[in-house]
Order: sequence, then structure tokens, then C-alpha cells
Amino acid sequence: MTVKVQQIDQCRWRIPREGAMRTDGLVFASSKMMEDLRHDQALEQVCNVATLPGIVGPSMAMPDIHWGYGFPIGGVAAFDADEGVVSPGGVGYDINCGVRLLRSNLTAEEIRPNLGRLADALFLNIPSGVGSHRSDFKLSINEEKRVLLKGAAWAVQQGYGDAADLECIEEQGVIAGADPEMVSERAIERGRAQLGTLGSGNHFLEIQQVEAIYDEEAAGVLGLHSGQVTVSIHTGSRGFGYQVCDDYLKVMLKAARKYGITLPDRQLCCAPLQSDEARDYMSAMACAANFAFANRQMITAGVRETFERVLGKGPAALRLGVIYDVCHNIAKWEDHTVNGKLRRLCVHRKGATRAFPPGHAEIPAIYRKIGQPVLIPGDMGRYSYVLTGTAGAYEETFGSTCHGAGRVMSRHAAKKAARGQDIIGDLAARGILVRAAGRATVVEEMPAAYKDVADVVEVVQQAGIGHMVARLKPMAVIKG
Amino acid sequence: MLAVTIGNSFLLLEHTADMGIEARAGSYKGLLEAMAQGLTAMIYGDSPAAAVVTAKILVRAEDPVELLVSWLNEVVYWCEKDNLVPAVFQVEPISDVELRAVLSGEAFDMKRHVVERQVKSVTYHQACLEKTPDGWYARVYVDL
Repeated sequence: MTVKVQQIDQCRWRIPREGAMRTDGLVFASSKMMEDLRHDQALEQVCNVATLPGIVGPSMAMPDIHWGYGFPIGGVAAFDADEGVVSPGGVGYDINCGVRLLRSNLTAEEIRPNLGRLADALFLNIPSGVGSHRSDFKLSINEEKRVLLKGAAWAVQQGYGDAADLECIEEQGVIAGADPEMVSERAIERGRAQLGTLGSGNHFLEIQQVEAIYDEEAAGVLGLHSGQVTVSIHTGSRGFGYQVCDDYLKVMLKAARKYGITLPDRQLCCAPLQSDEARDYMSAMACAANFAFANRQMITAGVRETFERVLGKGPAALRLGVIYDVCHNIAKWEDHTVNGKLRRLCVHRKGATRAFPPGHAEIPAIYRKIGQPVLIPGDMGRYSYVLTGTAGAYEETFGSTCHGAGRVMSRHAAKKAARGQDIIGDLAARGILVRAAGRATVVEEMPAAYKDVADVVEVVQQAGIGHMVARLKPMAVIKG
Repeated sequence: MLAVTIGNSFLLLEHTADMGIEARAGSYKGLLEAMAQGLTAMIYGDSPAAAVVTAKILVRAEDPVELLVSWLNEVVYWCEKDNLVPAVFQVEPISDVELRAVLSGEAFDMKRHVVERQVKSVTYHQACLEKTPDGWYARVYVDL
């Protein structure tokens, strides 16, 4: 299928409504990115999302867009509460995959002599890799149900972190409406030993240093300064979330038939938001989102414990505090003004981050004057970014922006490109230590497999759907 | 689209972020087994495994494509649950929406097995299953 694309300006492209599309597509990308996009199926996926019932505004894609399954990765779509649908494929298998950023009281110079020991200890202390599980505990079924209801607060109550952490998590670390009765026994079983584990693939734990500051005032509010050590955690709801998604895709395939919804791709199966099927999914999805918040909270506790032990310093000296924690695979009920009218919408963000503007009531009070912190990881060889949400994003993209670099190379192409290269050795020579469960992941996740996240962030800044605050450089990367 | 040949009966397909599996076989049973072998190769590469333990699986679905995806997701589940490296798949189709299978393999051993990548789930994106003049053909894409 050839997708017609019209350039609007330097970083916006319109896909005019045609055929079964109910609305236009809107893609944020540079000319170079658009040239690359014409070779894969991501634009077609933007069109497919535009065919779903009750879509409000355009079917959008952020500049880290790439070919996904059903929705494109980087996709944002909002649906009317009465006429719209919810689609598990618009959230993804890794429900509430997200990023958490910790600040510290340490400088890069100060930890450099102990960096190898820190990386080794984090690799041992935080279970990672395929099928990673905790050997120190396995949740009882009843305890896991409490995790699903309480999210990050459950972990804090068990001693994994402080109550102050909860203030700086999207939704304070718990999405309302979770109902464990809407989750299968199999999902519960898969989650029991996986809380507090990183997993594999593109998930990581990274020690970083603040390399550049673009907005001194906002950085000051976030507690960031040049040369400072930060820690990023990128993971989600693990096998629990994958099972919830899989279970509800079957429900939604049946629902789509029942409600007469025509699907251009089965993975877009969905149900009307007012149906029992949709309500059940939203309750189960909230359980998985809360599992992910608790997961990142437990890993945070593991990071703190590891830093304290290796560096021989207490919490007061390290001050490893949560800057923020964002979801980038989620569907949420939100109120947005559309054509001057306030509307209740279900906003799907599949590989996209909420980016609410300064003054928004859902932003922690300490950040309200700068906007919501937005965490954009790059690849393991270059850099990550800290942005803040903007009024532009709130007006144009339902308060959404990009979520990362976005892959540009397939896994096979990455393997081919890595032949004869010592990726771990090359990164070590540049001062970046990598600890990984296997070489295969490192090869497939090599820096060149991703777009330069600086290009993605530049488009976001130009379009006014994100504001650059700081750039973080990796020092040590733990991969599953 | 580029395809990577592993063995005789299936191909691992290129995708920007994920991967796909495509198989052809003379019989419906052979097709379901070949797709599962492709999935195993995607996760464990060419790690050799012995048929030491078995899992008995029953899968029901609403239509043939859903049965294919559900069958492969059963394999993902058993690999994760029992830390299993599959060696042999014996599929017994009951109808085009129901099958029984026996999955035999052994527990993952770091000394002998390699994990190439984690499969989160097998998706319905562009999933297809069809009868061809020569036999059967199927394709799925997998979330990694």
C-alpha cells in the first residue's frame, strides 16, 4: 500500500483521510526520517488506526515512529468516551513499560574508580535477562493481588523505598480501577516471581552523568546539574503484562465481531469503551500498570542498596531520589479540550509519553511551574534526554510526545553490521561499561540499530511538543 | 522482504523492531510443528536440546488463525514457566480450531544453551494461515 503524505512544515506531515479512514494521520518527523519511513509499514499502521470507531483528532505518530504490530510504535490515538473503543494492541504487551530516573548526590568523577564494581554489583543484585525471576521471594497469590491494587505504594509499604518516591511517579504509582478478578490465573502465575526484575530486550538499567543542561531553571527544579550521576530504569510489567494483553486480545477479537467493527489488522481488535469487554480490559490493564510501577519501585530499592554497599555511603550521602517515572505503553482516561469543548477521552500511547504542560493539576506540585518531566532514553552508546511537557503538546497531541530513539535497523541487520566488531570492548574504550546476560542482546541492541535520539528530540523541540532540559551520557549499562 | 533461512521448514522474517516466522509444510500438522520450531530457533538459536520432560497442551480458538497464534503463545508460556528448551513438538490437530500437542524438551542449562532473544508474545499482526497448491503456509510476527 502506498501512503499519500503531505508536508505541512519542517516537522509535520499529514496523511489525508481516504478509504476507510475516519480521520487524517499526523506524523511528526524530519524530511530524512520521512524518507526512511516510506520503506517500512509504519505509515500504513497510522492509517489503520485512523479507521477505528470514535477516534478524536488525527491518528498521530511521534518522531520515533517505526513499524510495530497493529499500532505503529510512537503512535498516539484518542477515542471518545461514548463512541470510541479501547484496543489492547494500542497499549502493547508490555503494559506500562516505562522509564524512571533517579538523581544522586554523586559526581561522575567521584564514582569512576568504583564504576566496574558498581556495574558488577547491579548486574548481580537486579535479576535481568530472559525469564529473569527473583530467587529471594515469590509472591503469594493474595500478596500479588495487593500489588495489582496498590502499585508502587505496595512496594513502599514492604520497605522498598520511601513514601516521598510516590509523589514523583505518573499517577503516583497507581492507576485507579484495577480489579484482580479481571486477570487470569496464568497472568498471576507469570507475575509471582518476576516482580523486581528487569527482563531482556531493550530494557536496561543505566548509570549516567549529566552531560549538558539546556534549561538551567528547569534543571534546578528537577535537581539536576552538570557532572552529576543519575540512574535510569527502563522496564515494565514483565510476563504478567504480556499475559494480560494476550488474554484480552482474544476477548477483543470476539468483541470486534460482536459489535461489527471492521479491522484492517487483527492486532487492532477492540471493543466500544462503554462495553463490558472494554471495562474488564481497562481493569486488567490497570492491574498490569500497577505491577509495572511496583516493579520499577523494587528495582529502585535494589539500586539504592547496591550503591550504599559498594560505595560505603548511607542514603543521606547518596540522596538517590526519584526525579520522575513515566509510562510509555498505556491507555488512560483524560479530559482534553477539543474544538473548544472539554471531552472525556481514552488516550492510547503506544511507545509515546505523556507530556503535560506547566500548571497542570496532575503534575507533582514541585514540578508544576516547569511542566511534567519527560524521560527519553537513547541507545546505550550515545545519550538520553530529560524534557518537560508543553502547552503545545497539550493542544496538539493530547499531551503526548516521543518515548525514545526508535529502531532503524532490524535485528538481523544489526547482527550483520556487528560482525567482526567488539561492541562491549568498543563501548568500554569510550568509558561505557556494559554488563549483559548474553552477547546476542548487546548485538541486537547496538547503538547503530537505533536512530540518533538527538534527531528525535530536535523534532519534538521544533514542533513544540517537548522542551529540552538536559542530556545524560551513559557510564555503565546493565542489559538483560 | 529479506528472510533468514534456519533449517528447511521455516524462515525468520525481518521487521524493524521485532521479527516474524514463516513456514511451509506438506500437512497442517507439519505446519504447526514447523512454526513452533521457528519460534524455538528465534528464542534459543540452534541450541541442542534433548526430550527429557514433556508438557501436554490443549488449545482451543475461535478460528484457524487464532488457533495458530494461541498455539505458539502456549509454547512461549511453557518455555518461560518451566525454563524449557523445546526439542520435539508433536501436534495432533482435532479440528481447524482445536489441537492437542506434546512439547518435549529439557531445562535451560547455561553451559549448553544460548538465549538469543526474549519473545514477549506472538501477535496477530499480519498473521495468516492458508492452504496452498503444495500444502500449507503460515506467517506470524512476534513482539520482542
